[in-house]
This record gives sequence, C-alpha cells and structure tokens, in this order.
Amino acid sequence: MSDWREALKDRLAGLRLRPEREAEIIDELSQHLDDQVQELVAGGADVETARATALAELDAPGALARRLAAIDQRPPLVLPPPGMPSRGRFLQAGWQDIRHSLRALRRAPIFTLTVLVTFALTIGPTTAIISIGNWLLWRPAPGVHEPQRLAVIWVGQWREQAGSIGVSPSGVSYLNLQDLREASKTLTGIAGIQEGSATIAAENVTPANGGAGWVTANAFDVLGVPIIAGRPFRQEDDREPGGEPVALVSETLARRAFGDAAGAVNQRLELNGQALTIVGVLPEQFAGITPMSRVSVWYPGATYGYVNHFTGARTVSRTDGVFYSFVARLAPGATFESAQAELDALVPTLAKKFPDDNEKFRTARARLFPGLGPRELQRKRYADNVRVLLAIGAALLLLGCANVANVLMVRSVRTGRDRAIRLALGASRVRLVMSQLTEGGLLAVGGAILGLLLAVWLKQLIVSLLFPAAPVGQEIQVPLDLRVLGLTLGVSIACALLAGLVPALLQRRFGVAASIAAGAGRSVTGLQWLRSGFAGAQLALSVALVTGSLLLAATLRNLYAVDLGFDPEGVSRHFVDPARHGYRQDRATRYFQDMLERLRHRPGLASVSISGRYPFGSGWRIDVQDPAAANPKPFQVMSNNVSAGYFDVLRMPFVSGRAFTDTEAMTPVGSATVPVVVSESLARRLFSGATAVGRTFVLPKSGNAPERDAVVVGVTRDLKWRSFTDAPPLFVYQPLSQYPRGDVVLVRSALPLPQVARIIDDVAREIDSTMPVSSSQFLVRDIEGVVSEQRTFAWVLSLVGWIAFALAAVGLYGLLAQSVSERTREFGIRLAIGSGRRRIFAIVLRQAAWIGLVGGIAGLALAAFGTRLIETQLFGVTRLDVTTYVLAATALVLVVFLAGLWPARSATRIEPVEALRVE
Amino acid sequence: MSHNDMSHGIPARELKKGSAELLILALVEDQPRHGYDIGKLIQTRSKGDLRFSVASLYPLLYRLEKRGWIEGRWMEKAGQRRRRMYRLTPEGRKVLAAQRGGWLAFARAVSRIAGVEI
Repeated sequence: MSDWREALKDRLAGLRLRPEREAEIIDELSQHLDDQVQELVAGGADVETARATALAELDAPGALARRLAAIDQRPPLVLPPPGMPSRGRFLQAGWQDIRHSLRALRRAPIFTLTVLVTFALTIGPTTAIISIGNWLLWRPAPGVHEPQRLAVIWVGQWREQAGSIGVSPSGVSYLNLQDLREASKTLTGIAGIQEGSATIAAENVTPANGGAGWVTANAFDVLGVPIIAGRPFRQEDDREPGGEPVALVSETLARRAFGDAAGAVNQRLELNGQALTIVGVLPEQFAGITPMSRVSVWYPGATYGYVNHFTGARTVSRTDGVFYSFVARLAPGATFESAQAELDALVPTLAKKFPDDNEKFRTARARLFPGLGPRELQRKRYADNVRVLLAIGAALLLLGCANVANVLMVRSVRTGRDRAIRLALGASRVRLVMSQLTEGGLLAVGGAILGLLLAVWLKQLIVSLLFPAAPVGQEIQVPLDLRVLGLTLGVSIACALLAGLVPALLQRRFGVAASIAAGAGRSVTGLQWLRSGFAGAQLALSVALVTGSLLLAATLRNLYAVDLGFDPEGVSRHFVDPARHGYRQDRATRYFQDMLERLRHRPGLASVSISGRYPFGSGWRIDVQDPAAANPKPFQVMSNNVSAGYFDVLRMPFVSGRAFTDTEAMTPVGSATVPVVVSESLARRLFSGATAVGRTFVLPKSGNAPERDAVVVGVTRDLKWRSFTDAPPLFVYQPLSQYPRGDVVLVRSALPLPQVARIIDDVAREIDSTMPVSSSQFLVRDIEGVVSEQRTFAWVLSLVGWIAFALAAVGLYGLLAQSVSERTREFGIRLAIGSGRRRIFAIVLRQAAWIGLVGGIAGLALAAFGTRLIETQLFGVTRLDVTTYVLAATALVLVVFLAGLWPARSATRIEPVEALRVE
Repeated sequence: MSHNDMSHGIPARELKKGSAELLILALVEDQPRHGYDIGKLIQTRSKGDLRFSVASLYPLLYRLEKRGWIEGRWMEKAGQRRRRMYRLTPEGRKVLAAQRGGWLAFARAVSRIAGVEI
C-alpha cells in the first residue's frame, strides 16, 4: 500500500479546496491508484513501474488540478427540465457566454488589446470630430422653436473674399424695420437681435462682465422661446426715442441671484451701472442664437442708449439704428429663396422712398442665412471644412471597423475547429452564434468605453484649437453628442457582430467536417485577395492623410516664421470699458492714468500700456491727407490710440524718432495739432523717403472731431495687424487721450495668465468697484485664432493619419502572419529542399512590399487629388510639394517594413520537420 | 491519453466529453459503484477502446455529482477500506433517459448521413 498523499497534495495545491473536501478527494484517489497498482503488479509489472504508470496518468493532458478547478469555477451546464421557462435558460446561457468569452479574451491578450485599442482609436476621434462638426453646423440653438424655419439676416455693404463674406454693417432704424415688416409676405416676423456683453450686477451678484443682448420686443415671439416667469417684452417697452429700463434674464442668472425664476421678477439689476427691472425669465437652455452664445440678460433695443450711457439727445430717427442683424421666421409656404428675393426687392425701395435718410440702402443689401448657427457669415467656409472633417471621421470609422472585422475574422477562423466540435457534441447553432456574438459585443463595449474617454479629451482639445482666443474662464464647452456616440457605437458594434457572424455562417455553409478538417485554421485563402486589397487601401488612405497633415505642418511652420513686426510672446490683453460705464473724456483719461500708475507698481508686470485696439483684434480706419501732395485726396489708414508704453509692451522697433511721452499720451488735446507716430510705410507714402520726424500732415474732419494737424514724432517698423499673409497696413498712432473708449490693457509679464488677469481686475476694482475687467487672454491665442483652421486641420489630419497608419500596419501584419501560417507547409518544404532562410525572409517581405507599393502609389495619387480640399489653407508650400510627398512615402516604407518584419522572421524560424507534421 | 483511444480519427477526448456522462450515468443506473469500478467497466465493456485516466474520470464524477445527477457516499465493509460509492439520483435518471434518446437520435442521424451501419 503506497502513500499517495504527498503526490496528490502537490497536484491539488493552488485549488484552495476546503480541507475536508481535499482530504476526501485524496482518500478516494489514493484508493483508485492503489487498485490500479495492484492490478498492474498482478499483471506482472514491478511495483515501481506500476507506481510510475499510475502517477503519469495523473499528469496526463488536461491535468487533474485544471479539470477540478474547472468544476469549481464553472457553473454546471444543467439541461433544463422540461417546461422550464425559456427566458431564464436564455439568460443563464448568456451569462455563461459572457464568462466564457471573458476567459477566452484573457487567454489571448494581444488579440484583445489590438481590438480594444483599434475600437478606442476609431470610436474616440470619430465621435469627437463628428460631435464638433454637428455642434458647429447643425445643432440648432437650444430652446428655440422650429429653428429650421428661422433665418439670420444681416444688413450691410458686402464683399466676398475667398470663401468667407465680409460686411460693413448698416444699422436699420425702427422706422425702416417697421416698413420692412409690413411689406414682407414671406417672413412672419423680423426681430432685431444683437448679442454683446455688459457689466452685470445685482444685489447678490458682484459686478462682472457677462453676455448681454438687445432685441426688438417681438424677438422671443419670433424665436418661439417661452417665458417661464413674469412677462415677455411688450411693444411699449421698446419704443423710441427711449425704451423702458426693463430686462429679461436667463433662468440660470435668476437662480444664482434670486433663488428661483419667480423670485427674480420685479427685482433690480444693473447693466453697466444702469438700473433695470427684471420683468421676465427665459428658460435655462436658451442662451442666444448660436451654440457659443452665453447671453444671460436681454434688454429692449430702444433702451440701448440708456444702458450704454449715450449722451446725445434721443430722437426718433430714420437714419440711425442699433440693429444690423435680425432673426426672421418663414411664413407658411415661403422658402428661404423667395424670402431672399423679396428682401432684395424691398431694401432698395427704402432708399427710393426716403432718399435723404436712407442713402445707404442704395448699396446695402439684406442677406439671409438659413437656419441658426455660429458665424453665419463664414458658414459656407465652415461647412466646407466641417464636411472635410466629417469625411475624415467617417473614413476613420470605416477603417477601424474593417480592421476590427479583419482581426476578428482571423481569430474566428482559428477557433472554428472548437466550434465545429461543440457543434458535433450537440451544441445548438444558435448558442454557438450567440457566444460568437458575445465575444464581439464584449470587445465593442470595452473599446467603446475607452473610446468615450478618448473622445471627451479630444473634443476639448479640438475645441481649444478651433477657438484658441476664448477668454480665460469662459472656455467653450461642446457637449458630447450622444446621438453621435450612439451612431459610432452602433456602427462599431454592428461591424464587430458581423465579423463574428460571418465565419459562423460560413461554417454553416461548409459544414462541420470541413471545419474540423481545416484544423489549425487554413481556410481563408479565398479571402486573401480581398484582404490584400483592403490592406493596400488602408495604406493608401493613411499616406494621403499624412501627406495632408505634413503640408499643413509646413504651412504653420512658414506662418510662424513670418515676421510680425512685434513680439506677442508673453503679452496678454484685458478689456476695460469706461465709456460704456458713463465716463466722459477727461474722467476716462484720469482713470487710465490712475490705472497705469497703479499697475506700474505691481510686481511681476514687465510693462503695461492702454490702447484703443490691439494687433489681431479689431481694426479702426481713419482718413489722412497729405496737403503737400499734388492731389491732396484723403486716403484710409489704420489708426490706434495708445499710451506711451504701447510700443515697449509690443517691442516694436523705431526706425526714427521716439514714442509718445506720458504727457503727450494723456494730455487732452485742445489745440489744432496732435503728435503722432506713423508706420514706416505710411511715412514713405506721405513723405516719399525723406525724413518724416517733425513733418506734418492732415487728419481731416470726421464725425465730431475737427480737422487737425498731425506732427510726426516717431516712425515705427511696419507690423502685421490681422493676418500673417496680408501686407502690413499703413498705420498712424495717436495719443490715447484723443479717443478714450473701447479700451485694451496690454501687459507683458512672465506670470501665468490667470494671475495677470487677477492683478488687472483687482486694480480696476480698486479704482471703480462697479467696473470689472473682461476677456483676459494672451495675444498669441488671438494670433492662433487667425490660423485656427490650419492648426485644427493639421492636428486632426495628423492624428487621424497616424492612427490610420497604425491600423494599416496592424492589418498588414495580420495579413502577413496569417499568410505565413497558411504557407507553413510550403516554407517547410522549401527549407527542406535547401532554400536559404534569407530567401524565405525575402518572400514574406516581398509580399509586404507589393502591397506597400500599390498602396503607396494609390495613396500619393489620392493625396495629389485630395489636397485640393486644403489648398486654400496652404502658405509657403504648394499642394504638390515634392519634399512632403517624399516624407510621406518614407513613412509608408517604414510602416510596411515594420509590419512585415515579424511575420518574415517567424517564417524563417519554421522547422521543416515540424512544418510537415502540421498535417 | 492518446489519439489511439478511439478508432477512425475523431479525437477521442472530444467525443468522450459528450458521451462520457452518458456512460457513467448508465453504469451507476442499476447499482452503486466506486470510481475504480466505473473506470474499469468502461474499459472492459468497450473492449479497451475507451479508457479514462484518474485525471479525467474523477473530475467528471465530481461534476456529475455537483449537478445532482449522481450521489457519492462513503461505504464501509468489514475488513475493507471505506470506499466512495456513486449511485444515480432521481434527477440523474431523467437526464439519463433524455441523453439516451438524444444519443440514439444522433447516432441514427450520423449513420444515415455517413452510411455507417451501427
């Protein structure tokens, strides 16, 4: 009698059985082994051999412990007793499938990881790109009734330029608006609506800059936005010459300031320090007519002068109007085209009926933009760009799905034999297909979760590329579009399921025996051509995308190399607006002096200035006139009013002369002469190369300003003002005191932006607690805003391009690996009859090279054609730049080589004998 | 275990998985038996074509027991070591009946298609 205890204990260790259970098993098995030894000995074996034979059985394939473990882990497959409700059975089977699949996936970590990452890299970027595209173009302003029947109308003098539209707005007076409304048959309502900002304050709200808009009384009626508390605007609130001091506020503001919507009604609110009474509350989701809008207070257009401290006498005028953009709703049966045609007929009649007051409408035109959305003026260009992005997103989704399908199919073919056996043993087809689907589904869900995380991150990244200049603390939030997520998820899951299903269905066609015979998975040869073609197509697409991204990268490099004529690095801009808070000229000048003085003593700020405008912000044109010229016709130049430190903050070099002194910059000029600094090119234009400093030219009368003589005290280098590519404008700088409104504090500092913003805001509130600072941002962000298109495209294209390359590499690798395994026998024979391993290596790489070659040529051709789409964005590099194409081709060669290396090496390691035994 | 356990190339292990349950249930149908006895009977009654190792037989027994189709009990006889005897439970009896029917249908179907006489 032997003691098997130790031998058995060893084999059962790790199962963590209950001690009494383990003892029982050992007892029972010992007995069995004893019986077996006895029998063997009886048959003539010696005891030692018998013992060894018995023990060897314990360690037979599928060893004892593993099988026992399986019993303890796996719930038994209970054949359902007749009459048991089938739903329970189904659920149980489903759960079992899930556990089975999880285990199977754990056993194939590389496969699982590949599929998960592919899913994530597909779902993530696609969801982000389509979400943003959808948000920009088609997401109607929330809270608006039937936005597809609404249009935005702009009135002004139009000029078209390279895909975008320029307009000099022409204000429409209430009298003219009334005439248009009455005459129009295609539009049921025309409402003035302008979105801007103001300092908002209330009892529990410290003054801060926020979105404020002015509207005609009918605006929310036309938009179909309901009032949730109080009352809407009435006609009498919005009557010229001066409207009532009343406001509608958003539910968000109402809650923040007064607890709830109802509590806000009849409360007092201050806009730019002017008191208004809240008469009603608008629903939370409505914040303006674009997705970027954040308006929380609305007031009647006729109240505009009151809110913004206008001084002039208020009159009912046909000439002046505070509205140049409108929202209108189509009348039943009308189309946007018929409405545009009607407007084109109506606007000139305004000029005909009132030729004196309406002179501007002889050339102005009302243009209608269907639907609501951001930046209607650039919408066409936006739409084109977004469409390109959407196409890229869709291509990526397709690529990813096809890739996942590919990988799943290879695996499915490999596991086909298992399925065949299960089938032979009586598993139902439905169950087999179900378990196949479960695996695909699990992978899709896992990948989707990763993809979702990626999407959230990418979305914000792309938004920050699209809108780099959004002020600190007011970053634009794009909601993740659940419908888009659903769509990408749906497509991915569908393709995963399909990929799982196809092999199962093929099996049905070819039958069980074929699958069992196919053994190690050598039955996909028929799909080889399809898969090669697919790998080639993937490579082609990747090459094209990467070429595009390289062209844009070169463009950005070229743009950033452009000499701007000033140094924006480290300079931030902050808005103050004393004029809109009721400051008159001398008080504003004192305010600026005070502010500059205080800021000068704050540590951390290298230099500070205040000016009317700033580079890559807005522009301001005035007329200048050279009295000495033969034809002293005035011509337009850009103008800016600046404090003494402006040129220092921007590090603008002087060609000759000097900057303003503090006294010059701040002294209100009563006299007829004004010191000015001019740009190099203006000096050349006025004085044709002769010394400019000390010379004089004329600033003609404009508006309220009388004609003055300008004396040149300095000449600066030219600078780029609104674009990298346009020629620098002619420029004249006047003292700040000449035009004290609409003002910008420029600061050069090494401190982080929020800290600088806080310092400026603190100082502003020290001087006047009701006048906060707004819109703090770095100048470089404004400059990036000008090239945001190129930046976004460059980023998205390279992201998608490299992902596509990675996917293509995985696809190619899978293809080659599969092909090597299919040709194991062939390679074995080749090796057996004396082929060198080097030759085998070459055979595999050659296959990769062919696919790469075809894909590469197709890709470069596709790029040559496809880069038309981004041609207008390129700068300093042509669409067919040879270096770029060579770079892209090099990337392709590298990717193909890397993808082919592993399979080629594994092919050289085939042992002829093993290979022949595979059968 | 090797591929020679079963004739005609169908992997024995796979077929056994499906049929072994049936075999065991059938063997303990009339009288309780211990593991070694069951293993031995399968071998002798199949004339050596089928053989279970310790490593496959006992896990199978435990699984059937866990499902409640058979029940194992320690029995002691005077002068002998105690043995664990397995007998068919009422539920096992139902399963056996069902599997017998299924097996017969399967075997008939196979023989019809493959043209093999049983």
